[in-house]
Amino acid sequence: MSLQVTQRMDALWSALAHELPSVEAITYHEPTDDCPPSWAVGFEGGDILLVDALPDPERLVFSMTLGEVPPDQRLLMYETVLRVNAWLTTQDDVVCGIVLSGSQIVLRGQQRVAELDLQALRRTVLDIQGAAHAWWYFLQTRELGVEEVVLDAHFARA
Amino acid sequence: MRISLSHLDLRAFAPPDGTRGLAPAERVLFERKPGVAAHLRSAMAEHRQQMRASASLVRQARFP
Repeated sequence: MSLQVTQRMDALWSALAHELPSVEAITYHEPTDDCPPSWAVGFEGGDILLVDALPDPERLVFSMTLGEVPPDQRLLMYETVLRVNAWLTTQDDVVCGIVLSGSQIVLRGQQRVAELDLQALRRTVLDIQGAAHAWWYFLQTRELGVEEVVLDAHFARA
Repeated sequence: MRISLSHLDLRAFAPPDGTRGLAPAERVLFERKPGVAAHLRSAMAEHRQQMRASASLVRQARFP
């Protein structure tokens, strides 16, 4: 990622932080030999969004850790992840899925840098937060009948 | 033995503006609540460790 793009992203993140009162801090992390340049966004309530800038095509990959999977619940979590991912594919505006990384459950999405402006970045960040909240809601209500569960991926977007 | 540092210009070792005590490879772009940036630093360190572990697993994988 070029210096110009990094500076543009810094400006977008700063603008977003001033627009969203739920953002508590944003840091930039320089690339290393084996890791791309990254940003970390801390939200009110403890949510942390980690953003890696990857090439070919230039894009941002968003990751939000949802929790640890206890060894005795792995099979149940795999099934739940598949069900939530299947549901997410039915949501037009949500650009993410849930992956299992080691012992962690991680929500992941991506967006091209070329078409990114403040509005698109704001929408993606809130979509990912909304999907994270949907996941937690899903866990709380998974014992209920399907007709009793309403998921909402669009968290506080208005 | 006592060593005097009074002849050194320690300003050269101070973090540049914006880093607020983080390592030189990191910058705070925004901080509304004190202490959160330091928390983000450790979250990113863990994230990068996971990325390295995943990359290592992919390199080690052998497909028929």
